[in-house]
Amino acid sequence: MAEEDNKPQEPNPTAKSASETPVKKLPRRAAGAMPVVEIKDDTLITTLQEKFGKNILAANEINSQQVLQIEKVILIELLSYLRDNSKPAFNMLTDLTAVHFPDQPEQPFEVVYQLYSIADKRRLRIKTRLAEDETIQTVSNIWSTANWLEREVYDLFGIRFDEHPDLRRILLPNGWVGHPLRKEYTLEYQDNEWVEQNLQIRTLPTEGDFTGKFE
Amino acid sequence: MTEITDITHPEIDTNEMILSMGPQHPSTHGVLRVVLKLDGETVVDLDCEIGYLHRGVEKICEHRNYQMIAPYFDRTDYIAAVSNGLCYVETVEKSLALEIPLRAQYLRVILTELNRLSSHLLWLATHALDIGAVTVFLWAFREREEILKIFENFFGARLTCHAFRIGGMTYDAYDGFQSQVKEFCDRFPKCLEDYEIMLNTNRIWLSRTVGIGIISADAAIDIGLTGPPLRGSGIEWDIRKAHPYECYADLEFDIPYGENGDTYDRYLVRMEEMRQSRRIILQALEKLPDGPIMAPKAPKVVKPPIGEYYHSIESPKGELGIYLVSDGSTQPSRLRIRPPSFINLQALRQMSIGHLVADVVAIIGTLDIVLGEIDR
Repeated sequence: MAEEDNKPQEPNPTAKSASETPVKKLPRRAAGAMPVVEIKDDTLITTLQEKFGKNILAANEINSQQVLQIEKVILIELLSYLRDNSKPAFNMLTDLTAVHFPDQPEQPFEVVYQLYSIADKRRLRIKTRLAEDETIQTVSNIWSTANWLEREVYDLFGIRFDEHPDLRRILLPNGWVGHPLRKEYTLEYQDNEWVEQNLQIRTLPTEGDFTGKFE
Repeated sequence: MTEITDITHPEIDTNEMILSMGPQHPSTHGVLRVVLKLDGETVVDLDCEIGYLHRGVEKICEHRNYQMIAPYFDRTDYIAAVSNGLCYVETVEKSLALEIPLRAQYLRVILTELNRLSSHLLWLATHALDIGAVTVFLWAFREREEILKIFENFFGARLTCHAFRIGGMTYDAYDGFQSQVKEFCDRFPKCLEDYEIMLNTNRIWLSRTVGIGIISADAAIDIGLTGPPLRGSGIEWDIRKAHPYECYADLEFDIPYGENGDTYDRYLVRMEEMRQSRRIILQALEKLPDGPIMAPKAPKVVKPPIGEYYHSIESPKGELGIYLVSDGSTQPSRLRIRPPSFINLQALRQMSIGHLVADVVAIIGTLDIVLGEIDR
């Protein structure tokens, strides 16, 4: 190494230590919001609001797509009703996913159900909020497509589903520790212990601005 | 289905065997591990292990600008890259409420339908190859080469094209594009007839596909099948007709659907879809208007408003959807890809139980899975 590299290493101001949790914070410039309109004249939504009352927290049309925000307690009852008895009947569960909002610490997780009615060609989105370690009922008894979709949500977010027939990791290897799609899981982090045991690759610690965690 | 006669030596003790098919296997269409529990050669139970190709695309997309995310979509379903690009670009454009010029819409439809043709040709080639028809494999790849040459002339890449941009397209049709596409479309029906002569009434093909992997319409909707597997079970539903996007509302085409829900019906559905795609391409070529190919107000810095949006298209594999949650910044807060192959693969277990090991290969082929999309 050359002589001029012998100056003392200054601490890199942009490096984050492993103990800080780097949550991505981007400056909120004046961006608008998508048009949000409360649903007023829809027979289906009105029937649901009459049936479930205050457990439907909000019924809005966000950018012309209908979204219901509900409490967790009525989930199974509402979805069974939507599949079997409502007009139109939503016979297909298109997607089941979750979103993490770390800036809302009381209820950071949101589980999103996209429903579809093939006969009426109509979409409906149902969302419910969860606290940090809260579990939620599985809907795989209503639609069997929810089996793998809930496994993926458990794998990537850590949300557990009660009474799921087979809750285990699906995309990541079985012994992996950590749930990547949470916002505090950095992009560079990997489960070094699993990698070392299973792939026999040992990651050496480096000086400087490595932001991943080490064991 | 052929019946398996009882063995004539009842004193031989038979056990169930666990067999691991994959992850390296020529017929699993990628790195897929299927763990089979066999009684002799009959499948008693089945479990799929996926995740060998998991690259964390959804996580990466949370750290990229919207224009930078588009190439990642080419690599999820790497066979239908143009379709994937279309879905992503449309989602962002609809979040921004951006209008696309008509010429760009027609060009997009032509290129997406050419991509559907190339994806179905690859499906036909690999499915037939798995079952044993090597000639069809070579013929279908010959046709697919023509389409990939058109893509190379247009975009510069054959497979992972990064075809469309937010707001329209970068490249206009090159000189000779229309004539090259038209020449391909004129030649194509004879090729489809050749494949059908080889396979449709072939005794071996029929015994390997008729009655294999039957799934009823209700079970198909319950397990979440979309695309040709759902249409093979008799449900006439296609997003291009149900929720038309781009300029599909102005084009005339039919939706083929089957009745029995077995592998042979899904094969016929996809063959007919290829004919209908050709019909769409010819109509769009005739109606292709002049004009700009990029929206006049396409933003240089893409920042969709705060909110969420779900948009889906009919990709060759099924319903490809994107759920975008935007927090108003230049990077998405959550970008969820609804992968048709992931959800279609769930049906593998109930379609294969009771069949032989060789039928599992045929069923994986008929579901038309792409591991890049399953694992993302």
